[in-house]
Amino acid sequence: MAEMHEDWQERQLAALLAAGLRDRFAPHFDTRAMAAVRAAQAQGGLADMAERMAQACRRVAVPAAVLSLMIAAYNVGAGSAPFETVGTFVEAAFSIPPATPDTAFSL
Amino acid sequence: MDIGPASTDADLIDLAAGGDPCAFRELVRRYEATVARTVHGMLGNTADADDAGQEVMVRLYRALATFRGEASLGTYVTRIALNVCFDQLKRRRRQAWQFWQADEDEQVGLADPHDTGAAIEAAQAVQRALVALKPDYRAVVLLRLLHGYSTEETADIIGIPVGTVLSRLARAKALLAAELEDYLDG
Repeated sequence: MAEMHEDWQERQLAALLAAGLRDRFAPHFDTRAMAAVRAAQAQGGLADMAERMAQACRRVAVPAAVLSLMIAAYNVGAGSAPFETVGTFVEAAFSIPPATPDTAFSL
Repeated sequence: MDIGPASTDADLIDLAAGGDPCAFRELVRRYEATVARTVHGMLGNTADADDAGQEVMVRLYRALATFRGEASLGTYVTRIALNVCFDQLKRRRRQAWQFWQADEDEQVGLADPHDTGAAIEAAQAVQRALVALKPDYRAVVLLRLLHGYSTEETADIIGIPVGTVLSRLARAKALLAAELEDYLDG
């Protein structure tokens, strides 16, 4: 008996929910949804392009940094003078002539 | 291929995944009612319900290419709609820290202009009763009572054990019955 009452009550609640909840959005929902899809596609396209550019930068930057370190290591290894300052280390690493008032703006 | 009510979901999915906007628009039309009922049940008839509906369709479009047809599209759409609603409810909770908690009546929202007085009153009572439930309970009620999924299907869609579905449903039905006493016979 209790089970029958529970089933009856469940059916009534289901009917109330079905009648009480709107089954449509505001008019022209399909048009708004399609516009949202297109906007999301455009945003996705921009995000993809940014990611591709970031990947390209990473592809160039990482080998460049490695190459730079290799050159630095080679030059440091080839030099013989002890490095008293950071300036002398950089100078030896990249074979940069020391800047003087005469050479500083000679580029 | 002609796109229309006679087209199968599988055909429309293939065409839409291939970039056919007409096919996707037909899917939107076909599943608007499923999404609308889920969203209005979870969020109330509020302004953000329409935004949530659009978000559901965007997520559906993105997922079409990976849709494997293990569940029906209706079940898949319902699952997406619930996820969107839970995200929306989380956002509301975060905003409640900044702007005071939204009034319950605001969540009940405006009635359908086509409804009569008694229907409006009943609809608002239903929505007020639903809003009073915890969102986890609301989801179970909507899937079991409104969409007619079995207990096992409901458990699968939400990702909770069958026992939890049964206990939440029993509690939710008792709360709804108490809130909607005036509208129930016997």
